[in-house]
Order: sequence, then structure tokens, then C-alpha cells
Amino acid sequence: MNKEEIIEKLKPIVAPFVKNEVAFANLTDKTDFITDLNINSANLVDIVLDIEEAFEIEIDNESMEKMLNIENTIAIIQTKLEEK
Amino acid sequence: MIGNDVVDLAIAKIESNWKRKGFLSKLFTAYEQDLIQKTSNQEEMVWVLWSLKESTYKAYQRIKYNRGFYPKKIEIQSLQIIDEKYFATISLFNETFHGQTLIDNKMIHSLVLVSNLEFKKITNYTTNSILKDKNSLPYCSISNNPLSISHHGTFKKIVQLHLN
Repeated sequence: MNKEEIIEKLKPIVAPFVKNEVAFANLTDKTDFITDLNINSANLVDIVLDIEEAFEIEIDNESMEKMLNIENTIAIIQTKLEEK
Repeated sequence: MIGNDVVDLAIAKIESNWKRKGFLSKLFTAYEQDLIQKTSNQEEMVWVLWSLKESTYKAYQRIKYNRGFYPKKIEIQSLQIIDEKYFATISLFNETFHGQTLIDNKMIHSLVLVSNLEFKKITNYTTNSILKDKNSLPYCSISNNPLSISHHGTFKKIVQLHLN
């Protein structure tokens, strides 16, 4: 799965938790879940769990630590997909 | 150092499903999951523990700036209830923190500090003189005292730690 395909699958997972629609519409690699999209930190775990389900991967705690922005999230998904 | 966190219980009920598979195990240590299992109001305990962790994360950022999503590294070590107020000790990266949590009118408010002595140096902050440092951590532009800001749903709390 390439980066664009991952982003297209990732967007609807993140969308329900977004509190800043303008930042979401202008999504880039550097977009931060907390500081840009204003997602409640308590919902980060929902995003992690939804990603695990959608991509059929398991995200360990060490990887989860870095999942604060789009770039890191894509990299982690790619790594976990390759490990399958 | 200072960190606070507010949970609007009515909003939390809508925004989060703490009963979903994997939710508790990704956020809470075995000891914390045990606290949740053993209490009569599990939902309230979930958010008490979460707000203590969130507050500790904020307090730690002032000691050493280290962004990340590492909820299980923030470990509740002890939790007591005295007169409907929770008292906790929490550890993160070899630092120890002290937390107090109040539940009031469908709102949970936690406050975390590095020393129990600091609790009497806390006031609610009501003016708009707020600036942010290079790490986006808020402080009072008049006294330079550190602030912690939290809002969720209809509730908002700003607290100030008086350093002098």
C-alpha cells in the first residue's frame, strides 16, 4: 500500500474526532492530531484502535508513542504492513 | 510543576466508549485496570485515572519537554479517597508526582504537582494575561508564574502556581 492509499484510508478514521475542519481540509504530512486538528487526547486511543482494525495490524506501545502526526502515523502503518 | 485536566462527564460519555475492546489495555496499567474493575462506578474511575495521567503529562512537559502518546508510562502508584476527594501519587520517567482530583457537578478536575507542599500555592486564574513559551506552555504575563489550562465540553479551568 503506498502513501496516498494509506492517507485515503486514514482520513475517514480521523475525521469523526477532528475539531478543526480547516486544518483537516488542508492536511499535510506535518499535521498534528492535537495541536492542529485539536483532537481530544482521550480520542487518540480510538484512532489507534480504529487503525488496527482497518489495516489489520497491531500497534505496540512504542509505536503508539510517536503517533501524534500524519507523517509518523503513515510510517508506522507502512512498517506494520511490511511486517505482516 | 503544574498540570491540570478537566473531564466533562456528559461529553466523555458521547465522545468515548471506554468499554470498547482494547481501550483500557492501551491506556491503563494492570494496577489501574484493577482499580477500575474493583469500584462500583467504573466510568467515573476511568476518567479520574485518565485526568490524573493527562495532568501528569502536562506537568512533566515543564520539567523536560517530551511530546508523545505514552499513557501507560504514566503510572498511578497509589490512589485514596478522603472526603470525596482523590489523592494520588503518580510516576513518569523516574519523576514522582502528586495528584488531587475533585468530582463536582458532572465535572472531574485533576491537579498534579511535583510536591504536596505546592497545593497551597495554587489559585484559580481568571484574567486574560496569558502568554505561551516556545513549547506552547502557558504562563502569566504579569508574574511569569506557570499556568495550566484545560477545557472540555462546558467546563474550563485555569490554575496558577505561585512560585514566590
